[in-house]
Amino acid sequence: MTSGEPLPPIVRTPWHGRLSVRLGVLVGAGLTALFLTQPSLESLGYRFTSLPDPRLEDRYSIYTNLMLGVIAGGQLEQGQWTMAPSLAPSYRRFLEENGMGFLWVDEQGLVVDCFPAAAHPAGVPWSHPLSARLPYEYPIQVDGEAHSWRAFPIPVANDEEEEIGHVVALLPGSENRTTAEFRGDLHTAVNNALQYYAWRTEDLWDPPLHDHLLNHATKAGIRMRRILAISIPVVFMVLLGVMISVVFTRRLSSLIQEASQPLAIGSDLPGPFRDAGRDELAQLGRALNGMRDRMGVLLEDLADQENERRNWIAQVSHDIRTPLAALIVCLERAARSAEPEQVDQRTRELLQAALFDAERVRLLTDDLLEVARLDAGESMRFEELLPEEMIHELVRGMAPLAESQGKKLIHRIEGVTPSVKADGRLLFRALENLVRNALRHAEQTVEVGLVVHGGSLCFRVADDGPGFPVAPGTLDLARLKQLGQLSDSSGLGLRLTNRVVQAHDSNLVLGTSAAGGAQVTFELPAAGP
Amino acid sequence: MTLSSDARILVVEDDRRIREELLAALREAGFQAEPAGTMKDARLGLCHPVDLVLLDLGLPDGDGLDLCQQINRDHPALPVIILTARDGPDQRVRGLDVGADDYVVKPFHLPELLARVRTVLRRTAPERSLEKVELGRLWAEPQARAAGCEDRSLRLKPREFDLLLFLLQNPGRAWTRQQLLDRVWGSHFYGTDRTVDVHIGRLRAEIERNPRAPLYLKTVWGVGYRLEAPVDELAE
Repeated sequence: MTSGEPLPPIVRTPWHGRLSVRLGVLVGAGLTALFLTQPSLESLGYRFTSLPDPRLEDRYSIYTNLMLGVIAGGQLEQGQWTMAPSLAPSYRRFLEENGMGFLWVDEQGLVVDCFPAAAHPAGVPWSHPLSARLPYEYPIQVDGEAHSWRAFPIPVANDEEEEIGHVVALLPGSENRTTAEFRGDLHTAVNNALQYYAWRTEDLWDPPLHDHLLNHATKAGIRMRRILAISIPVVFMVLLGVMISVVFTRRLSSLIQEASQPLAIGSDLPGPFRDAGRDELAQLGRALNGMRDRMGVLLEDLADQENERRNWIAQVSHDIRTPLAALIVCLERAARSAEPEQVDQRTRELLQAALFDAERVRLLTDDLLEVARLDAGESMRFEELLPEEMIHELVRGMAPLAESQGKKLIHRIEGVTPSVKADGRLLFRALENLVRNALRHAEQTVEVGLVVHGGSLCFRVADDGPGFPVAPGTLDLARLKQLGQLSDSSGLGLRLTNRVVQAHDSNLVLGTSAAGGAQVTFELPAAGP
Repeated sequence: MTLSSDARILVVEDDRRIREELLAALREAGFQAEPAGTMKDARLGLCHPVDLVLLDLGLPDGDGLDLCQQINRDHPALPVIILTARDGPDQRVRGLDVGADDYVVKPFHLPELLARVRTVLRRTAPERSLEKVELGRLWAEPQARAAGCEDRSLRLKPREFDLLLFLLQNPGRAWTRQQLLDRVWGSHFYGTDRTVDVHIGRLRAEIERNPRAPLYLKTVWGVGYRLEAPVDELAE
């Protein structure tokens, strides 16, 4: 495959392979499963009737406790259940506090006792036999207010299981109140009473009341089923969604992770990616694999181009330097052998001028090739170096140039400077360019400085010339060029310096020197003490 | 052998103008200079006694680096100065690694080149191995294993002395860290660039007035180190 080859056609995912369809099917299946579980919710109500021990079921114990609470108020004497004319005050209070009423009906169906006292229908026969429709609405007066109480007659039998009377529980208000109000302390109290009288709950069995309370519990069950009917699908769908997202995001994130590996010429490409299957993720995997293949080819091309460019730069370097070397050697030889009697003054001046220009061409060529090398991504050679040594070298090496221009090149190193990690050759080159530039604009002095600045080392080249006509800040080559501040129209020297400093993760910053001239600084992190 | 009167220099350079001007300049400086425009001519020229080779790398019939390697193998004592338009940092190191004594990038200035030729010839003079060596105010006596700076004797550990002696015997030449490891520590020694840096640091602390701005033991950026006499001391 070559980079020019067209992309492979994108295969459309079939409808049944699409994520949206699959997701829809999964959610639909979840909802269907939810509806199919309805019968088992129905059976939730049925379970109330089929418990082996009603005391173990919370809802069942509510009504059991209700009856116990009533019966515990009576007394069993000589195998006969009788109700005391007046209830033990403490238990009476207990019943009152828990919102219960009490009605004692004798064998003839006459009310013997009851409370609240206001509810006592003295002399009124209890006309409802146990087979009557229950519960019975019983209007009573409490503190002058009319209340509708609900009566639950409970049969009381002797040892021979003969029915000897009824205890009737009176519950205030509507049936909705019943269950909720008899939880809690009453439960405990009634259970205590149960233990005291050693009665079994089975003895208290009352089918009509049971039916009623079962009905009540069934309604509660329906309410609960409604709640469940909403909450279960929600929980189910959330779990389903989480599962789906886990399954799919795992594949997606593995794709992302693989695809996020750094890319560089010469390094392994990320992937190959998983592309088995027909869904969109598999499709994505295939697309990424296709891209990977093409990228591999492109990177190879790029590497070839880079090599070619480097070779080309080396070749150009050779092709320019060789004739330039010949030119300089010839000019130097000519200037050396140009004795005053052999050539005139004008020729000697021309020779010197030619040498000067040849030197300029040499410097420009060096800068140009160096920029080309940096642009071609030629690797830098980082080494730990002593900046102080570099500054001394620089000043020593360039002092003659400064002197030839009648200027001074000095250095100022403040404090003990740490070493830095840098490409020493390029950094030296960058500093040389800055000094050369500063010498061009300086009135008298160029100062190369080195200051420790936090964890960094600040290199500074300052002159006492007219300064930059731009605001202090990061170097803007285009602006300087616009203002005609560059020594050459391309700004090659400064461009190289800028590239070198940038290659060290720093920036050239323009400013004003203490002498009012131009100042260029850049910082490099300290490598060690 | 005096340094400039009868030293025979083989100039291997394919560019005719540079070659001719170099020959003329070298002869004017008192050397005997012989030309070679190709690898083949150079090999022929090496059949005769030669004291130094000025070697261009881009030759029409091959790479000068191969020739340099061959010279290093067949004539280990014969110094080579590479004279080339290739100036990449890797190329400098490679040139020094294949055995060149110095590396001069074109375009060069004639006085600078002649100075380097003299330096290389001076240090490759044969009768020097056990003699006291001096450079500026620095000196070392191999037999006594003593070294000093002016009247002050240096307190050096054995390896530091070896390193200083080696550098004093080869002044003015840039050495890569690997070369120093091979020559001073021995090829069997397993060391890193850092080993060399640490020893150089200690030597500088002993011999330099300001070890952070050394005058003798200088860094050659991107290459390694070079021991040279300070310019002002040479002038004295």
